[in-house]
Amino acid sequence: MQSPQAILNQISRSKWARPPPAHFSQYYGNKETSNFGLFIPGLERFILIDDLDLWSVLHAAKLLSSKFQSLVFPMDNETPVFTHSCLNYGIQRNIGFPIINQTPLLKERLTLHEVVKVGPPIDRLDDLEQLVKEQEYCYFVLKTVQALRVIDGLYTNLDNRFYAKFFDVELLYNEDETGIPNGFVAEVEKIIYLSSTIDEATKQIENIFARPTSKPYFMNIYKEKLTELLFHD
Amino acid sequence: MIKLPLYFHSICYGWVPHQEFLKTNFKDFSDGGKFHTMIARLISDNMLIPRDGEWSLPWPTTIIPGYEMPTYDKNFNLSFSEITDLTGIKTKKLINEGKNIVVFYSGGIDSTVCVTSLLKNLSDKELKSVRLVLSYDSLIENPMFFEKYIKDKFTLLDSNTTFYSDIINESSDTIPITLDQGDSLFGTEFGTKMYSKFYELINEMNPEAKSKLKHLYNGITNEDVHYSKYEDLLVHYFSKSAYKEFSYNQTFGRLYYDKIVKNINTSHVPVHSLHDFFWWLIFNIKYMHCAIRSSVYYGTEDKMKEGIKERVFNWFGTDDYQKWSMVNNNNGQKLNGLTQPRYKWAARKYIYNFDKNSWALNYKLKIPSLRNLYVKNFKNLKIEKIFGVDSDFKLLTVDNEEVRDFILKGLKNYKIDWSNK
Repeated sequence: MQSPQAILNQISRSKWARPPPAHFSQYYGNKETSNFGLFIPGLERFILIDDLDLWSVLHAAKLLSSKFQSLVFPMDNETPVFTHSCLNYGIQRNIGFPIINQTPLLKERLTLHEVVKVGPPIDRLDDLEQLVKEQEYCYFVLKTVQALRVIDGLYTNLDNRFYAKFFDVELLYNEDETGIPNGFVAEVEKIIYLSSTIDEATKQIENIFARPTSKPYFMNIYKEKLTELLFHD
Repeated sequence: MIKLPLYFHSICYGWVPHQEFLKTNFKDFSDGGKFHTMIARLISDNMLIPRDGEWSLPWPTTIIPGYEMPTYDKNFNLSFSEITDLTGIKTKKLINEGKNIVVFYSGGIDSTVCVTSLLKNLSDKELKSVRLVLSYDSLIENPMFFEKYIKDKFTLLDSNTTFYSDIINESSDTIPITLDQGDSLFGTEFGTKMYSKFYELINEMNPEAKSKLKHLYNGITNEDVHYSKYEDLLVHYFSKSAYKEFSYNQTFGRLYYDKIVKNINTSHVPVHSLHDFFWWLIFNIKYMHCAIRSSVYYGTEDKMKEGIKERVFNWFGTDDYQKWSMVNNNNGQKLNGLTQPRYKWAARKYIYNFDKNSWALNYKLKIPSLRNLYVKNFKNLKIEKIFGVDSDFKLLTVDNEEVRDFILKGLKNYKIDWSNK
């Protein structure tokens, strides 16, 4: 008869509980990966670098796909590409021609030698200021995604739409605590997906809070947190 | 019985029934037949039928009346924008004559040009007579345009349930608009893809060629930098792009380049720069494929003649657009820079002047929408078996013995008549 501890230890023999293969680590952050780059094939440059969370970058890329097609790369620690310089950097890797639709793809880690400094985008030299505004919008979208994930995790407890798709019945589902049709996160994401500028997006986000809702108390909680995370000075 | 000459033919290496047939018989092909097969390996299909200049083929072929290339007119001066508005007005007249318009909208630049023109030139009431066939792929390709200008203005048909053949088989008052010839006006992506790999490609070449070519990147759309200066690069690109498993491809790039040059030298239209070179390939030799592929591959045989000759409205196929294309090389209208978002610049500007969306102007890339159409139609049609169309508008398929014998005869006897190298 096995001891209780031995029974509990069985999990360590499960293939599902084994440490992930080494190449998995690039996607979850470790000492070999410090940055995640959003690369635009049409621009042939990186437009955004983040060191917080690969999956937020990929999600931001999906929301930015209304503007451009992109690829997301984990990058080696040593790659010298930063927010202020990324528009000078391209990649030296045969990425083929992956643009078969608008959805961004995640690619394997870029090594130091695959990232090359090539200067500002050759076809945008006459409107670099506009290019930087577009870059700023990308960072705005990323910061919004990161803030929404926190808010969703902190407060959204009523949303059963996530589970609705697992059942073959059609019942009405709850969105979240705010009373906004489709839920607060989806509403903000729709705004940044369809907006062209930060001003346009922030005004529309403010309008969400001005709408009459059945649950003003919760709406205020969402508003305060979003203001703290995203619109702080 | 095959009625010659053919109106259309294509061997498609990417399609299993073609590939099996071609692989089995390749060893028996003449050098010309092997070369012709290799073109299908280079660009996955070989749908090249010339409209001007010399370009020999393994089978007797002619242009369908009405699809001939207009005469080059160096004084032609209508702008892209003017022609596009005139085409919108032509559509308006069709609606007022009682026709129903159906636009195949992919969300790409070409179909957005068409919809923009309709929005500019039709009244709200007239717009209600226009239906757009689209899918979620079309929406996400340009969501801002859809949300602002399409959603509430047009009747929408789902391309998952509405096939091209459904539209053709509708009432004879239904006019389908296709935008398949947009690429023919602006130059092929086969070229723009090469430009984006320029340095990668020359790094694979010998030091002498590399040194000669590395200063020419900026000359791609310069009328004073003749395409022949890129000869070594083009030969390398063509050879590399064809599959490597055949030793035959060592000479393929050279043969292909020489064949295109012979065609250019015997044509009546000036071709100067590297981008002109690629533009000419699609404007002349691949034009017929772009013009009739929808009817051939996605329509039904009984309506093919009616579709090709009478019903289908090829938006970019008018003489005005074609004449515009012939006199607007190397002036920034087709490729206004070197990167892919600068391709189809005149079309991008036409849309931008309407929607003011600088994101689409500066970033939009071409997405192959026909792939989606192909996948959706695959189960219903015999697409992968199609070889050609004869001059009775009869569909020729590779599962027919007479057609197979005919193809083999052509590929066994076809001679290389353009190169001594």
